[in-house]
Amino acid sequence: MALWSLKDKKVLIIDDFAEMRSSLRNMLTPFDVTDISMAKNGDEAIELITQNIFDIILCDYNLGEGKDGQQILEEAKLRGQLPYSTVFLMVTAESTVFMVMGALEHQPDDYLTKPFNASILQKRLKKVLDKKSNLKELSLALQEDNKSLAIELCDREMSLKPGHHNELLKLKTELLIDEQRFDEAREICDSVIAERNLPWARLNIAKIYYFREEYETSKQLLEDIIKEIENYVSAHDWLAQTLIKLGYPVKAQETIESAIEQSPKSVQRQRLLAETAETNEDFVTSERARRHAIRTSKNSVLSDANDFTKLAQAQINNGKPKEALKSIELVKHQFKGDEQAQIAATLSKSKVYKAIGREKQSLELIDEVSDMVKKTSTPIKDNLALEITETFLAHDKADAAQSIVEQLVSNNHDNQELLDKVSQVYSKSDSGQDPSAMVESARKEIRAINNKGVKLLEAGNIDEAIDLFDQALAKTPDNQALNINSAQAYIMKIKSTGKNESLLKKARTCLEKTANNKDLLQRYKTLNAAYWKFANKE
Amino acid sequence: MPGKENINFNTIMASSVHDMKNSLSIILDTAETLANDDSLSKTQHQSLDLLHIEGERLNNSFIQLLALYRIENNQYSLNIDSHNVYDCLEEAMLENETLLAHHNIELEIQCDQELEWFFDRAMTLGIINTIINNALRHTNNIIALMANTDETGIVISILDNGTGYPDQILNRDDDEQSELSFNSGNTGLGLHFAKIVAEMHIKGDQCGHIELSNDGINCGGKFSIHLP
Repeated sequence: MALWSLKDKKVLIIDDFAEMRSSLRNMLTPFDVTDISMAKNGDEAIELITQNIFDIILCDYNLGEGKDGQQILEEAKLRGQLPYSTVFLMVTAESTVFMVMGALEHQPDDYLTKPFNASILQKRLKKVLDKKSNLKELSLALQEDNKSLAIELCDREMSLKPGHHNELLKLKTELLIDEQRFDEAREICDSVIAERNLPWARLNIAKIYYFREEYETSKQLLEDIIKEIENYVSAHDWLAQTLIKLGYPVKAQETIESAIEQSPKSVQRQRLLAETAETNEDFVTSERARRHAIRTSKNSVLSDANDFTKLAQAQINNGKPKEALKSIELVKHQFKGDEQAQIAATLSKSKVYKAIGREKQSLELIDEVSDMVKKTSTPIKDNLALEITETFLAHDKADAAQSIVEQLVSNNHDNQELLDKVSQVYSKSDSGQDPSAMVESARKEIRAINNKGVKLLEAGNIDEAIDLFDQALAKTPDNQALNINSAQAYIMKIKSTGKNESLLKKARTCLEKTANNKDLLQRYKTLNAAYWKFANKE
Repeated sequence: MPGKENINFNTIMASSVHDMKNSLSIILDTAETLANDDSLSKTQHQSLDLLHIEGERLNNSFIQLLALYRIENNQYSLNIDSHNVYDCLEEAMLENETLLAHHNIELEIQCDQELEWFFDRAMTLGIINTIINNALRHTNNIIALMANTDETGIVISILDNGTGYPDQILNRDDDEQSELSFNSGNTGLGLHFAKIVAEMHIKGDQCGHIELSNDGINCGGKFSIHLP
């Protein structure tokens, strides 16, 4: 029987039902598989995946309590433990879940519906392995974020093999949208729809309207899709985003809630619900969503102290100060080494005391925050910085606020949305101060550094430019212009001195920070392509 | 009744389906494993085949019932995409290969290997498997799976060389069909399911349909599903 062999393949079987595990194992034994590991729940699976790179993973979607199959897949991907060569097959009880999950960011290689026999398992494994070897180049281009090349490779594959190309066409359309080549993407969608009214083509048309900021049209199209296909989760996600842009946060919240009904274990979606509910001052929903996010991300790379402090704030608003203090205590223990998390926790604690009328303790804690900020070794993250500023301004600590705001503004000198938020924080406070002078001087300073650095590069003083950008980035690590210029400096350095792992790593860090910046797209693309040219050199 | 409103029937359904599918998996897997056991006697093999075929039938009915429930409650929208038709037919054959071998039934696929069409793969396979399971019990020794396109869409047919469908099924009136269906047991549920799923496949003003006849091999049964 074993014309086909899986010898030397490392296999992981994940199922909560012992008989299913042994049945799957028996199905694989005719193909010479000897190295099989088993896990009965998400935690066991994650532990094994963290320690090993498997060739084949068979994972049941529904694992009862705890993590489900989709979460295991996401966790493994985020931990970098799922290379392209690994085959991940999701086993489900009902075929209806495909539609729900088919729209998620992280996809298994295939779905299998129970019950299935050894021949079907073999056929599907073979098909996925063949596909993986055929599309190796394309996957490499995707991994290197080289979208223009990936688009060309999609075209090449489709012309080589007629038929079977629906999936490639879908991928190509999404890549074109990422590249802002909207007209080409639209053309594909229209021609697909002329033949068949496929949901993915309709969704992509709505996305194109969204990116062109024609939100009303986008909203209309998305609502039409949802009316017909209630369980198409990503249509709900896009509708929620569109509603936020249109200024309907309450409707957006309802939309997110219906998406969550379809796919309840997504941490990101629970967080989005919580944030939207916080905007709507619906703290009951926010409390529930934060709790859910905490539970779902427990022991995961997705776990975030922000959920705990936001939970505490919702609890304060819901008149549960004792519970709020408990949530804050959890940050103290679970995020011990995380300075920023500790600052956020202390700030939240001051708010609890304020809410229950213990002004003195509240003020002491604000002083503590101020000390912690002075001592911290890393620049404060944007949202926390805004929150601290707000508190400081409300407590006559305008001086302490100033250094935080300076750093915040320098970090975001070209991010108008954030700068507007800073102005709002000031105008809401009674400080009587105006941040516009600060914004202007921070802008000038960053521009001066960038201009100086670019001139140094033009004059061939690469090392000096690198030093200059490094120093500036130490204070403002997320500044977009600095990052893209710094990436350029590192790549020029690599070009002149040859490949060097530490230089590559530094260039990569800078590039990744600018990967989603629309205004820097062309420069990013050029530098990213150059990066991979050097990174792949023998 | 405190707490009662918190119990979500869909959650109960999903987890029960999961449990039942596990049980079915184990039953069918055990049947397949034993089928390859040469030490069993001929009568034991016959009993085992019966167990196996009924297990498959139970699974098909279960898929149908669940799908009909979901459709009825607007919880199922067809998942239409482009699929390779030969690949689907081959999968239907593989699902039934042990039973086919044990009944000495020859199954042949007549379909262009490159043929692609738009349909809901899981639901269409549900229909094909049901009809194959029925044919297994009624054919003499041949089952054929055929697929081709015409001006109205694709036609997938399952033919056998048995005695054909009884008159009461062939002469069914579509309006009375459901009543008649349930008098004729599982075949009726299967046909009802097939009809509903076919009709949900819509393109422009066309929709799918099913067709039964005794134009199979040597006047055996022939079931066709037409999808636009």
